[in-house]
Parts: sequence; C-alpha cells; structure tokens
Amino acid sequence: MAPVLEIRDLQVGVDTGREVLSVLDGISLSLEPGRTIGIVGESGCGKSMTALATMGLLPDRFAITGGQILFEGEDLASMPDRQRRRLRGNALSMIFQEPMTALNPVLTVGRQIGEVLELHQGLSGHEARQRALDMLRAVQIPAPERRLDNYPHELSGGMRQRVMIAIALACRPKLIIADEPTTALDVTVQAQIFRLLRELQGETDTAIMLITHDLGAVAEMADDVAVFYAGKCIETGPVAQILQHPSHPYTQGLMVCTPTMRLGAAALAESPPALGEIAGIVPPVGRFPKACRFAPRCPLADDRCRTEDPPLRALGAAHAALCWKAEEEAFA
Amino acid sequence: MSRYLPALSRLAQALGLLLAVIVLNFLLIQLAPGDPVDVIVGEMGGASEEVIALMRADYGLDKPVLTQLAIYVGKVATGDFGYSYYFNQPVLTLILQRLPATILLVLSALSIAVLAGTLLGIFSARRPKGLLSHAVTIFSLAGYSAPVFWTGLMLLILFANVWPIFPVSGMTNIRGSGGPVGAVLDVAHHLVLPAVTLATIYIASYSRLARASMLEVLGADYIRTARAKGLSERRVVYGHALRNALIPVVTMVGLQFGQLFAGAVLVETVFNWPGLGRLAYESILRRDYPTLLAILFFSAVLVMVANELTDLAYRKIDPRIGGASRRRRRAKPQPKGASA
Repeated sequence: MAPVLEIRDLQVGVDTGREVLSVLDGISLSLEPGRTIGIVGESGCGKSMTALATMGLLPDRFAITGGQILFEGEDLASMPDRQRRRLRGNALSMIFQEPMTALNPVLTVGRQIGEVLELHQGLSGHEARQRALDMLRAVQIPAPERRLDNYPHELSGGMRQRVMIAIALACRPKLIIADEPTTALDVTVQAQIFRLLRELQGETDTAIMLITHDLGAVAEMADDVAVFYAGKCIETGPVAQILQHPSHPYTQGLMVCTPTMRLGAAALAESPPALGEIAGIVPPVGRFPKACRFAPRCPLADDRCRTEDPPLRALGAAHAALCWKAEEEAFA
Repeated sequence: MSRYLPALSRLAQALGLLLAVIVLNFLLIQLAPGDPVDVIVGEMGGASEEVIALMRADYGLDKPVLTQLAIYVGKVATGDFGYSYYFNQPVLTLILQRLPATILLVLSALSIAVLAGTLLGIFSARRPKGLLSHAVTIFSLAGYSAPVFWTGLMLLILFANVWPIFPVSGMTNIRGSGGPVGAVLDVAHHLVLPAVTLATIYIASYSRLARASMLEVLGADYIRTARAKGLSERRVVYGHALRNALIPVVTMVGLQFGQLFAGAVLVETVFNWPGLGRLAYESILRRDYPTLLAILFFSAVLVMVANELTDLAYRKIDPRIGGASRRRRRAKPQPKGASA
C-alpha cells in the first residue's frame, strides 16, 4: 500500500542569530494508512520538531533545511503555505500535549469543533454545529448537547482532550499526529483516550503518528516504532521486534529504564531486577558529538564509534539500527 | 428573592462608598485654610466684623463642623446639593448643565484612545520587529511622558496659529450654526482638539498594553491549535487571538476612568470647554465649597457606573469570569426537583 506519509532525509535547523544549528539530521520514516508509528525518545531528541515540521508549524527561527516530507506523494516541505493550510486541520491534523491550554478559553467547544468543518468542508454554521455534536458523541463525551455550548474551563482535562480529538478528527484526516496526547492526564483517563483513538482509527483507516516518551503507550498503541536520539532516528522496526529485541544500545537502555510490573507467581519467584538508568545526559542542540551521537554514553562504544559515522544496518524485515555494534549484538 | 441578593449587596456597597466619599471630601475641605466668606468679603473690598459674622451665620458656617456635616449629608440624601456661593444658582442646576459636556469629552477621548491604541498595538504585535512597531513604541513613550496640559498647549498653538482648521476654545460657535445638524457638527468640530489631547496619553498606554497582550496571546498553545486547524493568519489573529488580547485592555478602561476625569480638569481649562472639569477649577479658585463637593460626588458616581459597565463587559468577553454564577443558577432547579 502507498504510504500516506513518507519523510525522507529531513533536516531541520535553528537560527541562533550567529549560526544555524542542526536540530533534526536525516530523519526518514514511512507510515501507511491505518497504521500507527510510535516515536520515542527523551526530551529534546527532536520528536516534537518532526511533528511540527510535518504540520508546517515550526516555531520562529526554526526551518526545514533539507529533505522531503511526502504526504500522499506531495512534498509538504516545499509546498506554498496556502496549499499547506488547506491540508492542515483537514487531511492531516494534530492533537497537542496540553489539553488545558490548547483550547481557546473564550470560544465554546461547539464553535471550536465546528470551525474546521466550516473552513474545510464549507458547511453552514448550523450544519457545522450538528456535525460538532456528532463528533462529541463519537469521542464519547456524556451529555454532548449540553457540552456544545460549554467553554473549555467548564470541562475536565480528559474531556478537553476528547474535544481536541474531536477537532482533529472532524474532517476525517488521513493522518493524525498525536504529540504526547495523554501525558497531562490521569492514568485511567490515558487508557480511555488510547482506546478511543484505536476505535476511531479502526473506523476511518487513519494513520497515526504517536509521539511519546512512554514505552508502555507505544506497546499499547503502535504497530511500528522509531527511536530518536539527539536529532537522529537511531532504530526503527515493528513494535514487537523493538520491544523484545532492541538492537541499538540506547533502545536497550530505554528498556532497562522502564519499570515493569509482575503479578502473581512471577512476583514471588525472584527479586525484581533494579530499575536501570542510562549514564550521562542528552547532549544539547549544537553540541551533538561527532560520529555516533550516543557514543559518550554508550557502554559498548569503541574508537570507531567516536570517529566514524555509524551505518544504518538492516536487522531483518523493516528493522534497522544506526549503530556499529547492532549487528553483532543482534546475532550474538 | 435570593436571585437579586448579589445585586442588592452591590447596591448597598455602592451607597456605603458614596457616603464615605461625601464625608471624606467634606472633612478634607474643612482642613483647607480660609472659608468662602473670606473670599466673598475680599471681593467686596472688605466688611465689618458684624457683617462677616452675619454672613457666616447665614451660610451656616458658624456651626460646629460635625453639625454642618450632618446637615449636608441629610440634604444630599434628599437630592439637595445646596446653593453655589459664587454662581448664585442651585448647585444641582449648575452641575446638570455642565455634566453632558464632560461626559461627551471623556467618552470621546476614551473611545479614541481605546480604538486607536488597541489597533496600533495589535498591528505592531503582528510584526514586532517592523517599522510600525518601532514607531508605535517611540510615539507611546513620547505620548506617555508628555504632560497632558503641555500636549494641549502645543496643539492649541499649532491649530490657533500655524494651521487653523479646528476651533481652539469653547464648545459651540457664538454666532450659531443653522439647524440641529449644523449644531451637532459644530460641537463635533469643537470637540476634536480637547478629545485628541486628552486621548494622547491614553493612546500611548493602550497601544503598549495591547501590543504586549497580543504578543503574549500569539505565543499561547491555543493559537498553535488554531494554526493547526489550517486557519489563515488573519483569522488566527482576529478570530482567536484578539478577544483574549482584549481582556487586559478592558480591565484598564475601568481602572483609568477616574484618571480620565482628572485629565479632563486640565484639558477643559486649557480649551475653555464648559464641563465639570472647568467648573471644578473655578470653584476651587472661588472656594465654592458646595459646588466643589457636588462635583466630587458626581465624579465618584460616574466612576462607579463606569466600573460596573467594565465589569459587565469583562463578563461578556471572558466566559471564565461570569461562568461561576451562571452555573450556580443552572444547577439550582435540580435539588428542588429531587425533593418534589
């Protein structure tokens, strides 16, 4: 199937006034309809920048400096803004991290959902209101008729995120980018939101790019995973493959850092291994190490890792890692 | 009944405040040296002790201060603001004559200031590093620093001598101007300079406030959401940002109304505008206490009315403010239904 989104060798830079620093360096991804890709990594690794670059919403002073973002075959990166605006909110839409602040406080919920329908589908005010009501039902908000005229401050965090999802889904997009959609929510609400997203995806065959630092969320939601580190995509592959056989030392480190819960007999059988950590800190933008960017923190790094760019090594169907050691590890 | 309780308590607060205004102003004026009789006698060219004592007794000025106060409060409560020592008219008549001119001046100045200031601020916020933005910043600083009477005098010189297209004194043309339409235009023509003068300083503060507020709002998460919807930059700014950016501007209107009255005293004096401000200036010079007290009283009333209106506008513009009381009202029928 033709991918709905294909990112090829994307480069994003930030202009500090003195120099242009690389924020994203050679990101490549592919996403097919109806599938979900999880993008994981620590804060500052470039996951959100990838999302914003795709939406054409990069902050001031940030710009795409190379590569392509093909959306249904058309390059978003080189598209004029007018044309991109017609897609935004329509064929591709975004769910933001902070439901508390991402909705306009002075407009009603119905207005904020209806607006995209009026804009992209040319509905009248009345029709848009009807569709907004349908959307509120679809995201399972109780008493949707009453909620239509509510303002965001009258809703709980979980409800607001449902409204955000309703806005994002209103025009039946081909691609939804969800940037940490549940980080600000209670754990119980997280599960509900994920279930809702999966259900709606099943109905519409929408592709989802899920940005998160939570491997649990990835395990629950994603078909494929891309692991980011310091502006590079260091490992990609099917979710089961990555979670069970992580090849890149950084991915392995992330797995060790994730607490696991064992119930019943397993909990009694042996004392649980101590929660791991990855030594050192993520290098800030502009101070990425040469050659392998993870080398200074990597337990396996040798001289070659510090002097030569690591190769992208295929490790099986659709599984690849950007590492000198990956192959040896995987088949050791 | 309980529905009206908030309104009633606000009314009670307002009355209490007015009483405090009356008492404080009355006592403050008593602190000033000299009394009206001194001034009148001075203008008469002197009088004997007996005549002076007679005049004091006539005006009630020989009674103890607290007795005078009690009499005054009692009279005000019945709508009697006394008789002007200087203008020889009931004070209320005098005030009602002058009040419309001042309200016209203050509201015009306020409208000019809010409209022009907000627009300038918003335009400059859209291109914070553009030429207009810098021009607004400089103009704001200059307008804000210049004293209002100086601005008035400069405009007066400019339009009296250099470029005489606006009348520089009074409210109407003495020779009259045919018909009601002509009269309105005549007043509007006279209004331009005083209103612009009074507005200048406030244009400056509104443009700065609107610029800062707009810049802050444009960086908000919900603006990014609006952009992610595919809205044009125009609709993002005017449909999503503007209303949020106006909230602090509305607050400022309420706070500044009182200052605007103070400014009106100077502007009316400079441009000979027949309003309350000039009356205040004249009655201070003449020690015309009843008039002065009544002016202070009416200014207080106007400021309170303005604050109430600001409050209403505020609720209209920001749903988060009025929301609590609205929800309470909506929730009320439920327990009733449950008990039935």
